[in-house]
Order: sequence, then structure tokens, then C-alpha cells
Amino acid sequence: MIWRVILGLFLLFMLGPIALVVVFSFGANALIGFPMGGFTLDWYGKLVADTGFHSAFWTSLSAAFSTAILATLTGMLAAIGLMKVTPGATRAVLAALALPVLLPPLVVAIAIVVLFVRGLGLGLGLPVVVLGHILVAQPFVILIVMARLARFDQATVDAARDLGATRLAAFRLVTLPQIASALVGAALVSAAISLDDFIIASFTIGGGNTISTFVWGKMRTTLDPSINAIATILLVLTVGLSALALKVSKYKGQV
Amino acid sequence: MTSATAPLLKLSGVSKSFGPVTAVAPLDLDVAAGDFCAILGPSGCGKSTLLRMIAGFIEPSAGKIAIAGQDVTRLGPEKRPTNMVFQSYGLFPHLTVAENVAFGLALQKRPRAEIAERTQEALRLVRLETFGERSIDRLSGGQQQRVALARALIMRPKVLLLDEPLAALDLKLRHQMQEELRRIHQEIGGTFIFVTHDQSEAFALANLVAVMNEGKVEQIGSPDRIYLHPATLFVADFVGETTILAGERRKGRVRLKAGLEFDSKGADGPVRVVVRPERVEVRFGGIPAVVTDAVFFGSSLKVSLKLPSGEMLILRSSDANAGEHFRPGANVNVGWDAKDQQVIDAP
Ligand SMILES: Nc1ncnc2c1ncn2[C@@H]1O[C@H](COP(=O)(O)OP(=O)(O)OP(=O)(O)O)[C@@H](O)[C@H]1O
Ligand SMILES: [Mg+2]
Repeated sequence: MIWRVILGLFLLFMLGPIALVVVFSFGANALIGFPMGGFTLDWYGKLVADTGFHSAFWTSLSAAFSTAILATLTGMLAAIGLMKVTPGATRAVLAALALPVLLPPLVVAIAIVVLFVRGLGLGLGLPVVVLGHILVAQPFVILIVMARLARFDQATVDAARDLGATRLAAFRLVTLPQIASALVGAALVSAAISLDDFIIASFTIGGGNTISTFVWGKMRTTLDPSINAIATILLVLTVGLSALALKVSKYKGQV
Repeated sequence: MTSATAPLLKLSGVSKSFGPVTAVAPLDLDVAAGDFCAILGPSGCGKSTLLRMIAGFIEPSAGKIAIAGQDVTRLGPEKRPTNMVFQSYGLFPHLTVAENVAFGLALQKRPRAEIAERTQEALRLVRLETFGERSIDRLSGGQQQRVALARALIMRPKVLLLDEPLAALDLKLRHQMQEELRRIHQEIGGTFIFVTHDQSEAFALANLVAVMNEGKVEQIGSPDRIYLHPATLFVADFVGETTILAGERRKGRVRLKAGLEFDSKGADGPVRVVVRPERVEVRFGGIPAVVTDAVFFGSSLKVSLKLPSGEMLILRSSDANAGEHFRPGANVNVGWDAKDQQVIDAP
């Protein structure tokens, strides 16, 4: 009994604030707090009319989409390459690649600015944001794809070659269909990571906004529930993507 | 055009080393069209490496491989007139049985009707004609084996390669599949090369057996030649039940420690004599021996005999009343025909 109470309190502590954010986004009262007034979709309507939000929204979506595609593509190639070297080399490379994930995002953000902007002279903006997000997302892609490749039967590729397929045809017709679900899962996780990020984006976006930098700016000027509405949209997007990623990769994993 | 007597598959001096490890020592092998050839040897002796060199997955370190007179040594697997049945089958899990079987023809962009017809024909050959729409993971091990076979056979390979095709099956299924393989080989008249570490399987199927040990081919020949006239002690020991007796050759005459003497050409020095158990019989005036053990196997009786030299000799008798002669402790005289023994120079 006591454990149930503790568990209940724990869940309340963890999820309560998030639940409140969602609830207030539908409240009529302009001040965040109780009483919150009647149910309304006004705050969402306000966002729809806000051109600043529009551009932030599309920037975030482009960043998430580009990150998903590029991180998955490069991560897949890296994973395939890593399966061909010795286990010791694989461990060393994975440890090095995981560094950006373990380091404080602030350090990663500074490093990206120093290298790409100061060093290579790229302008601040979406491309640099995407590069930063790839850096963080790619290790996850590599791990997901490698986990799939570990229980991949190399004899299927040999068989395809034996039946007349070139290396490329064997990859396209036999390898790709078998690891497709892992790739989709990896892409969704990458997109979620990109949508989630604030620090890297705020350092590298320059003049524009992603959703998270837009919220940050808005927090300092207005404090109405439209922020809650944005947070709710972000929440639905990232949780939805992650859940979808889990479902896609799990489902195929059991076949 | 190749003449009728030229071998279909010819390996000349083919070898493979992985760094310091010699997986296959230089070897020659000729396989004629229609042959059912077994590559027999213990685990790790290089059988798979040899087969994969023929298939084109491994490039030989030295030597030449020719199929139907054409040098294929540098060709990739997709360009060789061979097809392979893999030990783990390597079936495509994302395709149905029929799609698996049709894979090679689909790659060649054959007409739809031809693919459908030949797929059905291949499935009929392996007795899976009603399984076309099944997915691979809903097949038993034996059925998966048949799909792998059909997928290779549909290509009408000049040489069909099989890497321990039956190793994963239980005994009963294995015997059943051996029968199937024999039937299919007769039905399509192809050339098969298969790898196995099971000598009874090799003998049951093949008309040509190559025995390998530690990367070297010890002997190539028909099953009965290999059984009755093993070229080396390894072959004698690896292939079937056998007795190996020690002796010495002086001036063309061999004297066995067990007491027997006979003429045998060759260099002076220690020799070994190999005798198969079913060639040993009770014989008046033969070597005196004491029965130490007799085990009844239903179709035959296996008798262990102790010779005067202390060596053990195995005798197998299919005589229904043999049990009466061979009570443990009994004294018997045994012998065999000179043509049934094989004299091998000892190392
Ligand atoms: N890619 C490789 N790199 C290094 N050594 C290898 C490689 N492939 C095989 N070998 C070595 O070559 C030898 C022969 O291997 P091979 O797989 O041909 O044996 P096999 O007769 O098929 O054995 P089994 O019956 O166990 O399948 C072994 O000692 C093995 O360790
Ligand atoms: Mg092998």
C-alpha cells in the first residue's frame, strides 16, 4: 500500500507539471493559474494567426526532416561499415561517436559554432542547426541499425549474389527490405531529437527561430497560455514520433 | 566446345590462405558432368572454404578454376554458372516461398509466365507445390531446406553446390532428404558437389568422394575405393570402422606384429595394415585371437578380438548364429584375404 502511495506521488511529481501545461493550453483565462476559465481553442487560434510561429514551425519541421534523412543515411552507412571491422575497433568508434550525446549540449553547441561558423565560415542558420542535430542523432541511428544488423543473416546477401545480383542489387533487394523498419525507427528518433533540442538551435539558428527558440523568446515578453499551446504541440509531436518509432521497430522485431 | 571426356569442373592447384592460416592447400579436382561429388572431412578442415571458392565468394590465393572449359577464377558469384545451397539456407525472410524461388529468374527479367511456370516446376521437384504463398518463417526446417534447394535448382546451374545441406536436420529427416537429393539428382541429371562431415552421408549419395584433412585433400575416388583402399591412415581412420595393425617391411616382405607375414612391394620401414571389420572372418590356421566383447546390432554382430601382439581387431559378422562362436573369452583363429587389406607406409 505504502509503495502505491509513493508511486502515485512520484508519478504526480513527474507528470503533473506536464499535465498542467496541456490543461492550461485549453483554458480561457489569459493568466496562467486557477481558476482557468472555460474551455477554449483561442490560444491555438492565436498561434495559427501568428506569422512568427509559422516560420518557427516550418523551420523546426525542416530541421527535423533534414536531420532524420541525413542522420539515418550516414548512420546506416557507418553501421554497415562498423559491422565489417573488428569488435575492438567498433567499440572505440562507438565510444567516440557517443561523445556528443554524453557531453553537455552547451559544449556541443559551442563546438559547432566554433568549427562551422568561426572555422569554416558557414553562416548561422538552418544548415548549421541541422549539422548539430545530426551530430547528436547519428549515434542513436548507428546503435539502432547495428542492433538490427547483428541478427541479420549474411547468407541472405550471399544467396542473392549467388543468384545473379550485383552488390548494389543485393543491397537494394535483400539488405534494405530487411533493415527498413529499423531505418524508419531511426529516422523517427532523429526527428524527435531535432524537435526536442533548444540549446544547439539557439546558438546556431542566427536570425530565425525554431519552435523552441520561439518559445524562449515569447516567454520573456508574454506569459499567456499560447506558450502552453506551443508546448502541447511539441509534446504531441515528439512523443508521437518516439511512440511511432518504438512501434515500427518493435513490430518488425517480433516477426 | 569441350570434348565429352573433359571434366565439367576443373580445379588446378587451387589454394587459400587467410594470413598465416592455410585453409586449403594446393589441390587438383576434376568433376565430370553428372557426378555427385562429396567433399568429406572433419570440422575446420577447409571444406566450406573450398566450396566458396568454387562458388566465387572467396578468391583463391593461387590456382585456377574452370567450369565447362571457361576460366572463372576471377569471376564473382553472380557471373558463375554455379548455384549454392547454404548451410543456414539464407532464405529471404521478407519474401514468400514462391518469391524466394523466383528471385534469380526475376533478376534476369524473364517473362512473367516463364517465371511462374518454372517456379511451379521447381516447387514440384521439391514437393512444395502448395506452399508458394507461405511466408518463410512458417516453414519447418526440412521445408526451408527444400525451398533453398528449389531456389538454386530453378537457375539450372551447371554445378550445384551444397554446404552441409542436411546438417541442421534431425536424423530421420536427414535420411528422407538424402533420398530426395538422390531422386532429384537422377531426375534432372545435374552435377552436384556437396560438403559434409558425415561419411555415411557422403557414401550414401556420392559417386565421387574427396576426403580432406587440415586443408589437404588426402584422397579422391569412388566410395568403395576409399573404403577398401584408403590412401592414408587418416582416411582409413576417418572413413568407417577399421582396424589398423602395425608391422615392418623388409625386402618386399611385411611382417605384422600380430604374427602375419605376406609379400608387399615398397620401401623398407614401418607400415600399417588397414582391414575393414566385415572382411575379417574365422579361418582355419589364421591368427589366434581371444574374444573380448561381442555386441549385437540387429543386422550384424560386432566382435572385438585381442591379438597376440596385444592389438585389437574388430570383426563384423552378419551370420545369424555368429553369437555362438564369439562368447567373450573364447579362442578363435581369424584371417582375411590379401586383396581386402591395404598396406600404408607409416609416417
Ligand atoms: N575469413 C577467414 N579468416 C580467417 N580464417 C578463416 C576464414 N574462413 C575460414 N578460416 C579458417 O580456415 C579453416 C577452414 O575453415 P572452413 O570454414 O573452410 O572449414 P570447414 O571444413 O567448412 O569446417 P566446418 O565443418 O566446421 O564448417 C579454419 O581453420 C578456419 O578457422
Ligand atoms: Mg563449413
